[in-house]
Amino acid sequence: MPTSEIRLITEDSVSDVAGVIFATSKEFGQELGNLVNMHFLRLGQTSWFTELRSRRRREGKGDYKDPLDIRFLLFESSAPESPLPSAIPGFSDAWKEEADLLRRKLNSWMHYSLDPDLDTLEDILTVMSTLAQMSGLTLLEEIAKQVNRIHEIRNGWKPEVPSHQEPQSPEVEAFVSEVKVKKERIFARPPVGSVWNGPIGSRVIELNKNLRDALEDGVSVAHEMGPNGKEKVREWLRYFPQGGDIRVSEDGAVMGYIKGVPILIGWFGEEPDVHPDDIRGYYLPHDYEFTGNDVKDLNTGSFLSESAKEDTQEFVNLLASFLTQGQVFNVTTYGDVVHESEAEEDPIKLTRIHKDIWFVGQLG
Amino acid sequence: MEKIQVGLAEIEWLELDQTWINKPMGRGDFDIQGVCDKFRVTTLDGLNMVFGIIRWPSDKPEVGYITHSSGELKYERLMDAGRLGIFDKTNGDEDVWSFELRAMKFGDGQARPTLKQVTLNDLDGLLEGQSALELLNKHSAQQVGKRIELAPADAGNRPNELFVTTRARNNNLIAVGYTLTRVLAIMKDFGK
Repeated sequence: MPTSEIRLITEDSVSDVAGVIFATSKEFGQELGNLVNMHFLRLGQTSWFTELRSRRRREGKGDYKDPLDIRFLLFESSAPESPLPSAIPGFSDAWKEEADLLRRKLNSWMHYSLDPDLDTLEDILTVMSTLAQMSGLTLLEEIAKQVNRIHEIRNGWKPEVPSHQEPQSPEVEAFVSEVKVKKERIFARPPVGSVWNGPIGSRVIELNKNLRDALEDGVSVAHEMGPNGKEKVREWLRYFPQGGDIRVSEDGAVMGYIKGVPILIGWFGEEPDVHPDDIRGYYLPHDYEFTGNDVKDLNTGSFLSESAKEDTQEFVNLLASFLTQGQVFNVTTYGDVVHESEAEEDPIKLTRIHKDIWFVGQLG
Repeated sequence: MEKIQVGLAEIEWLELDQTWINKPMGRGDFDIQGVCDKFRVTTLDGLNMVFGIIRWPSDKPEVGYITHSSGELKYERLMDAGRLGIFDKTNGDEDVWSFELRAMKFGDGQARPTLKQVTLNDLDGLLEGQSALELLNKHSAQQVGKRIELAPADAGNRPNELFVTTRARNNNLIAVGYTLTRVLAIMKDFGK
């Protein structure tokens, strides 16, 4: 492997993070794919890839043109009856589990669902490193160097000469420009509960916590939001529990000052320009497992029923209609509940939740 | 609904039967849900304050502050003082509400007014020549007198307090009594 050519990350930028993820994924696929290929060639199976491709087509699975594509290798390593595991050095149940995790993370990454920062990079590299170790890949050394550099950057490391931006591959360029669009969208329309960056609304109304109502000159304005107006107001109170003066901007953003900082606490009516199926924001850095009658945070081991502020039964019932026991899902910073099934190319939004039916402190 | 004039103040009814979540008067334990009828009091000196007559599932009704848009600083005393408790009793077939007429009054050396015993004469003095008794009767007070005389069985520790009875849910009289003894008393710096 061309470890002499590796480009260590030099800064916490989208472009650098994306560059390393794409490059390392590619190298991972090449090294592992070559080992797999050699295994089959030694057995005289020269057309193994063509055969696997047609089998995937018959089974209605996604087509891959390159046996060195990491996504193909990860998919096949956990497909039942696939010949691939026999060709993977050091393959085991643990390998399969890590591969599944990496496949999901890369898929989320490709759908712009992961915050493109050092944490995400380290997270992905760590899983790759586990697999590389189990299979004895030389890539392990390079990953270790990258992870080491990540730690250095976090501790204030800077390049001695400001790094001139080397041209990235077209793949990375395209990814970075898409991420930029997404970041701008998040900045303009942040999740409820975050700092509001837009113009401060000129309409001042009073959020009255005793009345659970919004008043203008003492009179309720909830009816302006339709028959469910008062429910909307109650949602605002989740993010502005003490009540007081709040401001409504022209596009309906409702904000209140918390400790002197303007916080988006909700929308006056429906948030404009949002399609109900849109998945917004980045995944919270946790994976969640549906247990059948509860949700387990796989990172902390805690259960939703023991952590949420409000009753979660209705939400759990809804999950049960989409997921089977043991399936893993994610939640975005906007509260979108997302499942990435193996059958579907794109992640699916199951519902949207608010902070009080989720693990305390994770949303908003 | 027509506005009600009480001296230099005016009462206007706003929304009725609104959710109200708070601690009932004299009960510091936890918030419960009641229902409130909102009324606005405006005055010549620029007050615009909203109060509510609150009914609880099992505590006695009361009148309290809800919000305000404008007014002199002195009226803000009503944000956390001067709540009015209402006794609700069943008298034969009739549900009766009654309440003490105590007014926000400055005592000797007091920086802020507190509720104190008053006479009808005192109240007349807050009303620009209007008679307090006539005003109360106009809004269907049934009896006006000393608490010991009108409610001998439970006069409590304030038997000589000025006391009013009326039919239950007579919101107009409750709002008038509250405005007279709280808002007008503060307006006139009663006791100073």
